Amino acid sequence: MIAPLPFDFANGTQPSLAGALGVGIAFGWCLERAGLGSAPKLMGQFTLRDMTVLKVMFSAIVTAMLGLFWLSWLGVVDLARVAVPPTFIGPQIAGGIVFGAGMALAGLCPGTSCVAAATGRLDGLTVAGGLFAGVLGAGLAVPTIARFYESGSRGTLAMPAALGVARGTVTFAVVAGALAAFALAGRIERAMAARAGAGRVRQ
Amino acid sequence: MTDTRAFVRGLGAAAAVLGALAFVVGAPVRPERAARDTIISAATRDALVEPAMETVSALQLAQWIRDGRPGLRVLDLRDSSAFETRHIPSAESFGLMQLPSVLPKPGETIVLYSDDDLRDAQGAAWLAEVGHTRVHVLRGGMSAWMREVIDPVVQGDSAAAIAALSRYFGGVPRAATPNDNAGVARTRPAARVQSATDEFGVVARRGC
Repeated sequence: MIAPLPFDFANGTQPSLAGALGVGIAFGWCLERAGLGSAPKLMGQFTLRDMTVLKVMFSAIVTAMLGLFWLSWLGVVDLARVAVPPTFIGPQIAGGIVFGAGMALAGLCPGTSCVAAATGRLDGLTVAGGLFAGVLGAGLAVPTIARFYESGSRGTLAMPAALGVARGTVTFAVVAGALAAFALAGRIERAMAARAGAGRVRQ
Repeated sequence: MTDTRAFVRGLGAAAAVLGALAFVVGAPVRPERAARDTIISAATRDALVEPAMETVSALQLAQWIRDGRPGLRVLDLRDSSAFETRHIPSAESFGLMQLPSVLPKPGETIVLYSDDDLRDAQGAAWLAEVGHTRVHVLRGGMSAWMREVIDPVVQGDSAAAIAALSRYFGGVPRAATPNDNAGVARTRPAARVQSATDEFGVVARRGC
């Protein structure tokens, strides 16, 4: 089960699959409405011309973090039922590098490539195809890379335990970091726009 | 435009207030509820909230079962059809959602297994949350049990002991061949290992 949703996605029953479909559609809709189905928009993040990705992702993180913290405090959500993926330091660093390189090259990540494909964009379809090929290739390679794949297990490690601080402290730090990032992102966007405007005037 | 900006600033201010309050509150649990719900002391619970996942090898688990380790409980988190097809001797079939109902007992050691790392990790976290202090996850799940206990390739000083353990569970141990050392894929068992220390002999029963 993935709390707070009452579904056990892993067991493959029809209500669970219907729930997964509903969550997927809602996620895709949010990405599309945020404009993240467009590769140029995502590339704007790497060139610092458009900070939408940072704003959308940090907004989602802060909303989920504050929501879970306070819903747990109110007794609505049991945090013990929220899935925490196990940590494998080395393999996840390697995966992050591969993922980041792929995202910079394609201009789309897995979720946004599906959104782009669903809206009929050819680049989205191409990236989604590459995504499935990559998943298949990685799956087939697991026996070969099994030793590395399973190395560095740290269990269900989360930031409060890793840093030895309370969950409230981590929540506050992330919220403060997000608000600072939003303010900085606005300044960077304005500065980049001003520079682009000055370039056009000179031409 | 001004309205939108004011709305966004309002959301930012709300997030700042909620974040600051989270810092003051510290834990996402009301003190009176924590006191009521907590089976173990607050200090112990804090230590267990996000523990590193303890693992156990298939051979170690096999030894524990064979030796009748006191308080050992083995929980199979796979679906019921997989459990019916094959499971580790003495294992009980449990759905992930049933785990919070498994209350801790003194001296109990729980071993979880499935074929899904995430499911194991989540199960271990849930059991820790309800107060279990000795929770282990079977490294490699059911696949490891089959590979290391039921159909092991044995060699070296520990070969006899592993072969004995394997036979206890109805396994078919076989001696390593040059092909095994060269990493060539295994086929059917080629030779059964006889052991002077095999106190159970060849037991013709499969435990799973």
